[in-house]
Amino acid sequence: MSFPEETSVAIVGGGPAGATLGAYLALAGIDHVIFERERFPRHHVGESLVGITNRVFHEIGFLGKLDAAGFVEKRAAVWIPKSGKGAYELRILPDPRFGLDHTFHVDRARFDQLLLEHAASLGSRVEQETRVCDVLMEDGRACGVRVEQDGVEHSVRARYVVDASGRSTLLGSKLRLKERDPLFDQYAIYAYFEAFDRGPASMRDHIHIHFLPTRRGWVWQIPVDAEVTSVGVVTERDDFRRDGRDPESYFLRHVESHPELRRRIQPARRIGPFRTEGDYSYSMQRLTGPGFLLVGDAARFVDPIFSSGVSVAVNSACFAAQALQEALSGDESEALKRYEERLGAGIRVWYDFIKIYYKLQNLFTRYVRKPEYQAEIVRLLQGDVYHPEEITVLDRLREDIRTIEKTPDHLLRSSLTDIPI
Amino acid sequence: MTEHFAARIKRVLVERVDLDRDPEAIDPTCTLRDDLGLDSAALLDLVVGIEEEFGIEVDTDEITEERFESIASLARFVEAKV
Repeated sequence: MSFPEETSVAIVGGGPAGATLGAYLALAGIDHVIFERERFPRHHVGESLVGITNRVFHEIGFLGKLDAAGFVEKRAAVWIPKSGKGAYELRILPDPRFGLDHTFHVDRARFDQLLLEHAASLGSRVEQETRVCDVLMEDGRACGVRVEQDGVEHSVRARYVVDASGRSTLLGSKLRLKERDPLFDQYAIYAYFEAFDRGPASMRDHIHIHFLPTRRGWVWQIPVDAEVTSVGVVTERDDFRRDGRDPESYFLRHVESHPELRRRIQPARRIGPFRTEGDYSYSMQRLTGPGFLLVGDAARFVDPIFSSGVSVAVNSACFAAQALQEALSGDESEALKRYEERLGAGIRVWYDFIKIYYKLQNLFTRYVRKPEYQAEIVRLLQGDVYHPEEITVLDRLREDIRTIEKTPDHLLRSSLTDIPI
Repeated sequence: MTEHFAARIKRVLVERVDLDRDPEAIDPTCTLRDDLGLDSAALLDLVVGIEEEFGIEVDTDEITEERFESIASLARFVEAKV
């Protein structure tokens, strides 16, 4: 098959955002090409999914394959305080309409490959080991991509270019749309372990969030498969800079500052290297422009405390597919505007929830146990953030925070952080 | 009567907040934050535990240092609410 000279939609990146978009476009009969820099499988962080992804995977016919792949089934989250004593367990079951009572923890190398293969099976043209060097622009409009494959450069004209390049943010960087998050500047260091003690048998398949005694610090514990656990330390980047040590001793110092984690990691053997992610959270001035859309991490990256990464990727792909169908059949500006609004509204809910979470950790656990708010909080934790008009609990939480702020001898006043709400 | 409330609050502390102590051995005058070492997460657990144990609603502006200073002060607050 000769190299494509033109296509309706050029998708930059074959991760979950690009592959899901490809699947939707294939189902809609819109021709497109996915350009992926790597040869899958390749490593990627972000192993924990949330329930709302079941809807998207159901729509593109992937949910059955995913369920049959043998990934760890995820039904709950556990928060462990910095004292290491006690655990707050919350079952977060997804919408049963899509046939599953669970979501998944996945080895992203394998998961991303399965999803990309699924898109190809539906008709996506996938070019792996093909680097997108640049997005072609004409009079301010994206009109294609310049790619490099086997040392040869090709120009591919496209009616639309979708940036699914992840944290590389190809278009956002090129067009200078990227803005560093003013509140969150975090740093993550993680590794995979065998024989990590995941705790009581009833909880070992849950995602665990261990709070650290340091500001906005926490540790994720995610079961990647039956033997392997991903363990990651998230702290403020300044904390890492001040520490001045190498990533490994920094990781160990934090893990050992938590009594329960210290116990759990004791029998563990690290497999694979320590990996880091800096330059954490960012937003884009806009998510669309003439001839282009941004999806997934290429559109926005928020603190991963609620496992939002893959969820934003596949939901934005779903919205982008609808926008592209509309734009290709006529009204581009309306279609792109609607995409901005839908994705923007959802991300704002995530972001507000994250801010409130860091303002007073665990405030939301009070409302999870109140029947009138429980369903809403579970929806938020599932990633069902795209209908903000149905979410009232965030207003309630904000009101609580204001009450705490203005009650001089409030018990929790000293626990509030300086995050503006 | 207040003693009875204090005993139930201690039970909430041990069962719900996972405080690693014998309820009998907790002095009702010891402070929740400093002596028992409860952090904000544990204090929120305690608020919810008390609401459920006594079937009361604690308003956010009632969660003050004064009322939640010790088991004894908390018992007086709960007694006045039920």
